[in-house]
Amino acid sequence: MKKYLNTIRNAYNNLSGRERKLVLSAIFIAVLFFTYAYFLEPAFKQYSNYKNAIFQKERELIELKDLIHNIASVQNRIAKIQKAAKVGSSQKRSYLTEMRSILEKASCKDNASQLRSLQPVSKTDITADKVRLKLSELKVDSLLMLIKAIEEHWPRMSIQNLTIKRGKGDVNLVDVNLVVGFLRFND
Amino acid sequence: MAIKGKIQQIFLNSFTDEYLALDPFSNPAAAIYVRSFTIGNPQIRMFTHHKKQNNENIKESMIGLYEVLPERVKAQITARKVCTLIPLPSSWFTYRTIDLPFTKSKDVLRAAPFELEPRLLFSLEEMSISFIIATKQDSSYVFSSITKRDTLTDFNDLLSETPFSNSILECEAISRLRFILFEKFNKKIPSNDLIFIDQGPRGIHIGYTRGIKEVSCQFIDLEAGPPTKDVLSLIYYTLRCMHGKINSPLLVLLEENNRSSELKQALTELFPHIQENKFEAEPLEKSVPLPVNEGSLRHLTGILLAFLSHETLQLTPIHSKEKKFLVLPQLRSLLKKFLYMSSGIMLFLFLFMGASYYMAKQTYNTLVNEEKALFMEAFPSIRPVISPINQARSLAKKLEQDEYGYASLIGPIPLSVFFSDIARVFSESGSIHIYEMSFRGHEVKLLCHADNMEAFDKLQASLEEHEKYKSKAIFENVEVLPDDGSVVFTLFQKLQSG
Repeated sequence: MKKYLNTIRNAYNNLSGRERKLVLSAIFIAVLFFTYAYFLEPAFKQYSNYKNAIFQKERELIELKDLIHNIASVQNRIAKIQKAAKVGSSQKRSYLTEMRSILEKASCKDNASQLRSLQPVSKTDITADKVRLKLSELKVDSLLMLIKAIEEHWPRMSIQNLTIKRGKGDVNLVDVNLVVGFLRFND
Repeated sequence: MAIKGKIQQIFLNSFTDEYLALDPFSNPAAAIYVRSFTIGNPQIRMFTHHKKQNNENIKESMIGLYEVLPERVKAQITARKVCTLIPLPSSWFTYRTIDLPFTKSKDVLRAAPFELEPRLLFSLEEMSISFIIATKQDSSYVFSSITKRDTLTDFNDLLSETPFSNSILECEAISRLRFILFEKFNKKIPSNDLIFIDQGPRGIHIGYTRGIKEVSCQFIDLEAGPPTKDVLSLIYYTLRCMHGKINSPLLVLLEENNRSSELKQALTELFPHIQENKFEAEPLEKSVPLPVNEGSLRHLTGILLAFLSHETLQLTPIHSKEKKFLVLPQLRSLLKKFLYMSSGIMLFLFLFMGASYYMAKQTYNTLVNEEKALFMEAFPSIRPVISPINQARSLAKKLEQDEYGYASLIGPIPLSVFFSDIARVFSESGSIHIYEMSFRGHEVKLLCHADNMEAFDKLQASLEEHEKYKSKAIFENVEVLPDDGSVVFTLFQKLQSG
């Protein structure tokens, strides 16, 4: 190794001033090239990657904030439903009895021609018990009172199906076909 | 340490220029050794002379001069690490001027020898000619210095028998001096700053002018012999005084002994304020820093040794039949400029790139940390992994599915509100009656009857403005009954859950 270094040193020493400057210039240009190829260009690439990543991260941050907001509202809604189901499970009275009491409260008990249970529907841990109610020749005001009375218990109690037809006799009276759901946790 | 020393030596050699200028024609023969650094002021490292013996020829003078040089300088000469310059006496040259009616240097160079030939004693083949071309608007002024080729060849042969065999023979400087004298002093004084140096038989004049009004000139008496250390010091002092006053270009003129009186006369006519002053010389230290640039440094060595540089005169040597005498300062200057510029650009790029890279990395890390912090704050029970956004997305998807499952179990709220709204809108719209109303899922369907088209339009406009519900009301199956012009239609309205 030392021998080669000596050879190079001797060769360099034998050069004239101008030749030395040319050699040094060539070395300098080579150093510039390698610096560019192995340091600057990869650094440029890395910098460009970082720039793209920053842009993407900023977008992700905005999306994350929206997602957190959405998740919070969904969780609130789910919590509300679960709370309603919990209340429903803790009810000692049957849902039919409860329905009757609501009918009484809305002064529609006499118009009820049918009140019967339907097949309950289950999703995950909650079940909706269903009641079909047929009311005939009901005043519109009474119907509104009935709907309001049911909605007071929303979401534990909700109207899932409703058909109103004009009465055949008095135009101010209507025939109503109603399906009401009652939430509870699965047994 | 040894490696460090070697690296320092390599750097020192690479970024310094060392000149040894010799004047074997003067008596005593003199030599000056100057080192100039790429950055900083050049320095006179050594000045020495050799007093000629009776009947001593040039070769003997050069050998005698070599003998009085320090050992280190001798070693430098042997290793060819120093640029040795020998200015030729102007008496070796004869000068001619030609005016040519074209400006292209190629054409000028082609025509000039033939124009000169009738005015020369010898044929072109026997002469070595160097041209300086000054281009005017539509013509060229050619100044030529001519010498016999044999004279140069003989001197080269003589040089090869001395230790200074690799010296550069400087003849361009003389040509330039003549040219400038002819051009400047015989016509008009240049309006820009000018320093002139005139070496006469009795001493050296150093002058400075800015137009005609500001003139100063000092005379250095050299009657006592060759320039001493005190004289050198005085030249340095004088130049230093002037250097603070002048702006570029710095122009240095030199005259040889045999022409000095003429120049002096010309100067005296042009600069009547010239006065002889005496200065107290500053003692010359081991090394004297010169407040001049590299080109000026070469001129200063010329003051002492009849050497003049090309670079400061702002003129480019265009042609010389003897290639050996042709120096290419432009190439060197360009190379230097390229090196400095590329180094500067590279350094700037490095710094810029480094700063940008660092800032980008910091910003990215801040965003990543912010994202993690946000996630942890929102979901403290979940540990964020590589991509919190993906975790949040999957969580949201799962919750939405759960909600969808629950939502199918319950009906919408505001059914009673909807009824009230419908009742109000219907009453506002006029005579509209509901035949049938059904509600399934989240959609309400009403089969209605309007007594006339106006009532229907009113209802439609009223519901279209309504933005309370999830979607706009849709009217379908609209039918106008021909009997009484009443309208039967179906109205659909979607309600929002929760």
